[in-house]
Amino acid sequence: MSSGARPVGSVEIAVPPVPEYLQMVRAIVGAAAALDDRLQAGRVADVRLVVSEAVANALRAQEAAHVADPILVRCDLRGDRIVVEVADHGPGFDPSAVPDLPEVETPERLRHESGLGVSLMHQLADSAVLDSGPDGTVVKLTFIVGDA
Amino acid sequence: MTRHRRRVGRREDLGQATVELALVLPVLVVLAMALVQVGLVARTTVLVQHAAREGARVAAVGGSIREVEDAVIGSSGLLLPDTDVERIVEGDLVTVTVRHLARTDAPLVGPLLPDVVLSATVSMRRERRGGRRRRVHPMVVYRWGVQSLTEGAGDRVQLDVHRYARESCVVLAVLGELDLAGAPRLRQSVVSETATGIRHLVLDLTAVDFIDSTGLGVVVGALKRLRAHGAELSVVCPEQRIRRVFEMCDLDRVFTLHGTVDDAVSASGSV
Repeated sequence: MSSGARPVGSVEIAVPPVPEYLQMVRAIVGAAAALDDRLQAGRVADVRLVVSEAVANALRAQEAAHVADPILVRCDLRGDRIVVEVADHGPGFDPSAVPDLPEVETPERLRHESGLGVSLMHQLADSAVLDSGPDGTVVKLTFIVGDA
Repeated sequence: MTRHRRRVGRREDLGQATVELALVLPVLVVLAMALVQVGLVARTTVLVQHAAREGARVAAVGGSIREVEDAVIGSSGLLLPDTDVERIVEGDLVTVTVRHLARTDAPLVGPLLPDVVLSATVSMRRERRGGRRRRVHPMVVYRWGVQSLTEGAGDRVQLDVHRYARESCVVLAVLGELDLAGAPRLRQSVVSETATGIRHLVLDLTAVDFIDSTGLGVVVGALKRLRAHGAELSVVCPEQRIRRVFEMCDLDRVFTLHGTVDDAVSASGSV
């Protein structure tokens, strides 16, 4: 059990759309991911960061649209992979319309105080799928737990 | 003959046990009193925390320093001469610090131990009358003068910003998790510093446990704001896990991440 534990199961939480809950979401999802002891500490930190980005975006979307429904966060341990889904009830957006970031050393780069979250999700998760419609956005983040 | 000798031998054993007991008993009594003393200090610690929270609650609804003091003393029964109450209002946050001199006065061990200064700091958002009411979790930071007894008590910390001057710089030391919930607190501190016309601001992220893109956004925002005022910004970030997030966003090329506050301060003007 001490090496190669592959827990299978899922945790689901309904998060009130208040920023103060972000810390709790990170703690819960991070702890769930850490149950799989093949996941290194650095990778657990990645899961925490990425889920925080996704929920922060959901919070912003719902705040802008004045939606008070809870945000649903689900963390699935599937043995070979960990899948985290974040579903909000915001107005949705066009993922392809997220602007590309300008080159780092150009002064325009400093205009971008936000929009880094989606880029982080793509960099850190093995797959990040954003599915957005008028009823809300679902972000599906997959982390492969390979033995390799 | 042999029997008699054996009996004598047993008696000697009995005597030995008594002597041993006599030797060990004082040590045991002193240890027991030390335990009692530790228990008393622990109890006072809880009282100080509780008192600070009560004080902050009164301060958050606009209580005067007298009312805050009354709440602190009234809620805890701490003795006023040994207790020091401080209230700081900063923006929409109010911070109450209670320092208490816990006298170690248990018999036997009390005189051997130094008195302990216990302190607890609680920050709460001030409640505005009318307007939009939103439930806000109080941000609680505990610090102990002697040693940090409770790492776990920091669980409820969201974000705390400490300000101090170092040479010609102002240092904002950030403590806690810098995310969507903590960002406004830091942004506000940066805005009020910029308004005072400083030349060099140092953001010390050494005690930041977590940062995400919202947190990075505040740091980028600080840089823009300071540049617009002709001032400079230095970032102190020795922790690899926080540095990494800067690197992921390519911001390590925008900021020089210093290892210590002293490095950042001495880098002033040379940039």
